[in-house]
Amino acid sequence: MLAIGVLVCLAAINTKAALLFALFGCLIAAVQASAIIARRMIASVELSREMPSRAWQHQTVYVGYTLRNTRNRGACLGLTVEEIAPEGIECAPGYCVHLPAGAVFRSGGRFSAHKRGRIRLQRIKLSTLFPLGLIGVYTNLDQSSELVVWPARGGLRNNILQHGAVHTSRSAPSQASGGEDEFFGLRDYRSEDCPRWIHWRRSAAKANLVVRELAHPLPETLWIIIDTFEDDSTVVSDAQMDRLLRFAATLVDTAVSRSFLVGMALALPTGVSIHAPSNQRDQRRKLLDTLADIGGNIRYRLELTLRELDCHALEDSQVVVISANSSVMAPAGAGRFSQSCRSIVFVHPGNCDQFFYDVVDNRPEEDSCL
Amino acid sequence: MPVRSFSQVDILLSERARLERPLVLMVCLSIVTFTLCTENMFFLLAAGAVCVIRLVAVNRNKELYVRRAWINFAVLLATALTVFELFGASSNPLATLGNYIVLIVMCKLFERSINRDLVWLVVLSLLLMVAAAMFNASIMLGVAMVVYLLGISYTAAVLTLKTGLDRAAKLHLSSESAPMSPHVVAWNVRRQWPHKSIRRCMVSLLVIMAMGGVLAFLVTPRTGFTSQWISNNGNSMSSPIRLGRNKYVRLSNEVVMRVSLDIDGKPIVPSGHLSYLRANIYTRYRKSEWQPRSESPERRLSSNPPEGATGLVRQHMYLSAKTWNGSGVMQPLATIWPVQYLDVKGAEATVTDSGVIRLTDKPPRGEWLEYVAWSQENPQVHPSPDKEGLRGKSAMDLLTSPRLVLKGVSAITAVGDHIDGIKAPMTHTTSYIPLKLFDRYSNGEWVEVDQFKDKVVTVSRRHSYRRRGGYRSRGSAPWRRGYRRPRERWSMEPFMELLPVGPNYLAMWMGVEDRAFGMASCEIPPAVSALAGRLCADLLAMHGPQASVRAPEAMMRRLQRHVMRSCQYGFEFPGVCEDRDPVEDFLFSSKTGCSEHYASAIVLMAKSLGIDVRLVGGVRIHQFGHTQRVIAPRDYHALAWVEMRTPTGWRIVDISPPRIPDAEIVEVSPLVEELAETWCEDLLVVRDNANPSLRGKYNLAIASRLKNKLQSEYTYSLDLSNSDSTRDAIEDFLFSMKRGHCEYFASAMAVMCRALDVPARLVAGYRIDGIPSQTDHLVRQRDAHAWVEVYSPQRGWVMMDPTPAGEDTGESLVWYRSIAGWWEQLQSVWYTRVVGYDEDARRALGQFVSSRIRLVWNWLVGETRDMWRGLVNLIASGEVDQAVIRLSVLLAVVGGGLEILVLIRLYHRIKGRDMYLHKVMGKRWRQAKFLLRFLKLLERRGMILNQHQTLGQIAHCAADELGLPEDKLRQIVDFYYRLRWGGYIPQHEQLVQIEAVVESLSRHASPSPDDDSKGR
Repeated sequence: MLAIGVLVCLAAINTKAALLFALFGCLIAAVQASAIIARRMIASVELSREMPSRAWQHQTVYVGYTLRNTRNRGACLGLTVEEIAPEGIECAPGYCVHLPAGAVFRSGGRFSAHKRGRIRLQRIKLSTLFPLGLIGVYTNLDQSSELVVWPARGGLRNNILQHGAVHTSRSAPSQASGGEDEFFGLRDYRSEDCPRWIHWRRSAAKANLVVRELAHPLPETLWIIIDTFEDDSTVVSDAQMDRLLRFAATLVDTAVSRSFLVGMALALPTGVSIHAPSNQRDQRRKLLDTLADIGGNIRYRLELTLRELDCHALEDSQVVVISANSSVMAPAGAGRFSQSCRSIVFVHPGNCDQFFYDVVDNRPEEDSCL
Repeated sequence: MPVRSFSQVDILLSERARLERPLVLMVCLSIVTFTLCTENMFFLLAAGAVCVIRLVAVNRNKELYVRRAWINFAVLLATALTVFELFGASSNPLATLGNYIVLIVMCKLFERSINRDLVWLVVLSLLLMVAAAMFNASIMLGVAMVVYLLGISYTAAVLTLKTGLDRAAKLHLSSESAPMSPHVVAWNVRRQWPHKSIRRCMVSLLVIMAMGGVLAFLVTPRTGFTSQWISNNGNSMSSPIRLGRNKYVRLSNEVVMRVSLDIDGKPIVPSGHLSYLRANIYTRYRKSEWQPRSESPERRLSSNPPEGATGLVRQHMYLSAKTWNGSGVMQPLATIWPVQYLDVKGAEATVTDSGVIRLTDKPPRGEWLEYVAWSQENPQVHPSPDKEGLRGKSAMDLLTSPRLVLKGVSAITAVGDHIDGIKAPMTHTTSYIPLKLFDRYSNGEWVEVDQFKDKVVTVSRRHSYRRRGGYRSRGSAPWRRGYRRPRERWSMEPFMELLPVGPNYLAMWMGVEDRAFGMASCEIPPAVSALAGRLCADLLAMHGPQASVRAPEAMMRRLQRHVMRSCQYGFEFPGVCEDRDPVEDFLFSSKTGCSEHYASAIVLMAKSLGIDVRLVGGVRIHQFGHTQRVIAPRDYHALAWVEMRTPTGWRIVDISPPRIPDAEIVEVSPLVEELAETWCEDLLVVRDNANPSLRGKYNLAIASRLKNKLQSEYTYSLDLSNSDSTRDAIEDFLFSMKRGHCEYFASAMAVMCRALDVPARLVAGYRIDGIPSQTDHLVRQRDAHAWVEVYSPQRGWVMMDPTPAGEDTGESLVWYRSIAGWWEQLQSVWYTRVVGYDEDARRALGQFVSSRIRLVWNWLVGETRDMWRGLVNLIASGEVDQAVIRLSVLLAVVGGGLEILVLIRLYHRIKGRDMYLHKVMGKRWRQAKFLLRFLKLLERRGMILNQHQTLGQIAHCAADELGLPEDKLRQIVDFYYRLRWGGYIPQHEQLVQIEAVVESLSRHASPSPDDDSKGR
């Protein structure tokens, strides 16, 4: 446009044609008018951001931008909303083609976090090129938001989460099973059985009474013990540690979704943190937040974490010990758990592929699977 | 050719038509504009076909495209053709580049449309419009430019939206497998395209653009463009006439003057010669350009004729001040009828011999200037020198008779014939051919030298053309490439060539050469001697008695400079005194004379100082463009000059302009001369063999033949678009165009007359058709005209108009003529006001604006002061004067206006809500009037209602901010929602009930003094 303006100016000076002078003036005025109109549009827009507080690493986060045109006359067109994001955030701007006068529009932006942890989004860039695409006008709006990025979710292999055998079976359903009782079989009626549970149809086909028996699976308990100790002697890369954390996050997410009672023990820079197994709603969020915040532990070794754990808490539970150190196969104090817990698995970078694979673009990462 | 459907984004933008259709239309408009400006029909048809195909495809929601390889090949081919045309042919580079852009645009129209290509299409179309504006400046181009700017702005806006939408829709994160659907991105415009919003934006944008364009147009300093597009008919009569530069002549209806003619008080209707009003005379033609004749000194005339004078034509004229050029005013009828009495109303004026009237002060702009001039009745005859007792002399008489008589001659009429027997091979130079030598002067007569009885031809080269690096003489057109224009050299070179005509020429000439022309042979008037002594007093004092030997050159230069500066060349000497020596009278009284007077004065003064000089009579011939041509000099070549003895011989001291009036340099093309000779071959033979006294008659016959030929074989037209500016305009007119307007016809006839040795000149002025029922006749710019005047010794300057009649559209097409007239008027305004807007107009506009601002400011200040005084006077003494009345009226008007504005705004607000309810509720809108009361109630309480808020949100805010009961608010909202969305038909009691609820809210909402005090 600048080149065309200069060209028209030179042509006008050379030929002294009135039309070219007028055209040159129109072009200059068009640039000015474009800036003025765009500036007025930007100044009349109120913007607010709505976004989730938690997100998975490497997954698209949808951000809602609420744009409101405060003018009574004059629409805003071609608005682009973009996050001024810190490092590690990949953003796709939101776009609003038309925002009528006095109207509200919800535009969708997306971003993807490539680093786990807590991310603070501070500013939003609101810009437009309308009407002529010659002048881009923008403004930066302060909208503070915090986002906890959980380690990326992958897939589990080899049935690392196995349900245990049926613990009990009765003819009456359990009180707290919540409908998870399953049909186990039929048996002959006993005197102490409740007549309500007699299977009359089968009993009619047999000579004696038959009652239904239901299985009562006890809730599975999963303990995840993570070795977060870092020092110079630990030969482990950040990528390996992140992969182990992704495994842990996947394990937490999968276990919670399968109704496991998931507990976690790990050492943070402030001390050993033990999350007792629970079926509360926010247990998953707590555990994943903890995983997102891991880092900087140079004081507490795994042995210290194990020492803090109560052996009774681990009875009849599955235990997964995750450590970047391969020598975790025989940590001091681990032996006392192996007898009380139902199973114990040690996961380290060397055998992580046996239990975990990464997912790229919502598809299994073939290389890592194999 | 592949066909593809549009992408999702394209479909989202309403099947692409919203973008593609205006874009293709704008591209088509730019191509058509450019091709029409360059008159390239091939590109016009080809590009039109391409655009039509593309538009049809767009209307069918399909896109035709060619593979990119073919597009690239076509672009390369176009580039090669352009380069070949640029370097191979002599075409206009701008047109060639424009055609190249057209080709590129045509290629791009068949390319797959990605955003970048669309932007390029916009840019290229803009370049085409710029190129078109460089070619043309017609009003149609202005209209096309405005339409283009409108369309291209809309297209650019939609393209900007589309580009942003494309970018938002195509962008996807690394964690996403596919981009987001544009329908999701722009969900709100999917069904309702914001054309109203875009149009509203475009209106403000275009208003600003128009303001910028007008501002740039008005304030940008520029000059020189006007002459390229506007004919100088009527606008610049005193400037040179340049042929071949204007492609089209626009006719303007602007009134120049009002004329009324009467003879002895009886009105006459302009007809015949009377309908031609002279403005300017052009005598020199060279390289398609006529130069106006230099004017003689101005003189004042008495303002009224003497009582009883008869036979005078009185022209009563009102001249528009727009026709003033600051230095003078056009003088119609003046040269044919010399103005003898002049009365300019309200101004002092002078008049020249040719009739140009000049005012001492510039008249006020915007007013008419009235003047009355009286002339002699006979328009066809040049003023006779024999009238009023003056005795005329032929120019050749003065030189061919043994005595050169100056005394009693009051005019030189150049009556005479060619000089027999003198033929000289000529080059392009100016040559002097001496015929007579005079050495004795007594009582106004020069006597010929006895020894020099025969004729001697001397050819002297006057001009030499210097080439870079040295001197070189050339034949015709020496100022062609590599040569500079001729340089005037007033110091004469020694004679270069002597050609014999009569026997024993050399002996006689040598005898004359040896003779000394002493002082004793002349009777020099004492006043002349005294003047010469005064002029060379310092030289005489310095060199003493030997001054004429030591410094003759310096003394001659001084004498020559004095005579040239103090005296004026002319052909009429009305103030000549019979009782006085003519040379003395020339030097001290009349100061007007011809070459004989000049030469005589210098010779006598030089002789009085002792310088050996002599007076030579002969002919001077200007010739251009031909080499080795035999010239027979005519009478108007006769001239007298001075020769001074130098150690190397006699040198010419030329001090005089051409002999005959307006017989100045005319450059004639050989083709034109040949054509003229072909047309008048028989008449030329007759004329050359006829009695010399009949030559004037045959000259008129030759001119008449040329006029008839031009009128019959050539067409009148204002469209000169096919003219070739690189060629001589008259040659181009006669041999190529064969059409033109009055300037071409008159120029061709004048130049052809000159080629055939018929004295002629070009005259520009106005031709009016008098209406018998009117006494005042309006002269407009469109009446500007050019014609020819041919000189005849018997009749003087005879007017001839070679221009044929223009095209007549017929009586049956009156409506067409009226429309055409209106259109021409519009074009005239366009060309004069817009295209012809130059530095002067800009300055005038600036002065006008500043004066108006100053005027308004002064008025405001004065009125304010008066009103203040009136107000003080009213307070102090109770008197009501005019200022107070004006102030009260002003206050009443302003107050009333403000009140009306408030009422209008209130009405619109109420009406707007009613209209909204009517729109959403249809015929049941009255059932929801409680809502209006409710909203008014909230507004009265100071609540701000935003358009984007729903009724539920408003109720929620009202409960929070105003503390209104939520149950009642909920009741109102629910009731409205049931009406609005539920299709509920309420009973009358329910409506009364809900009105009561609103009323109760009103009571609840009204602030009580107790509440206020509590609040405080």
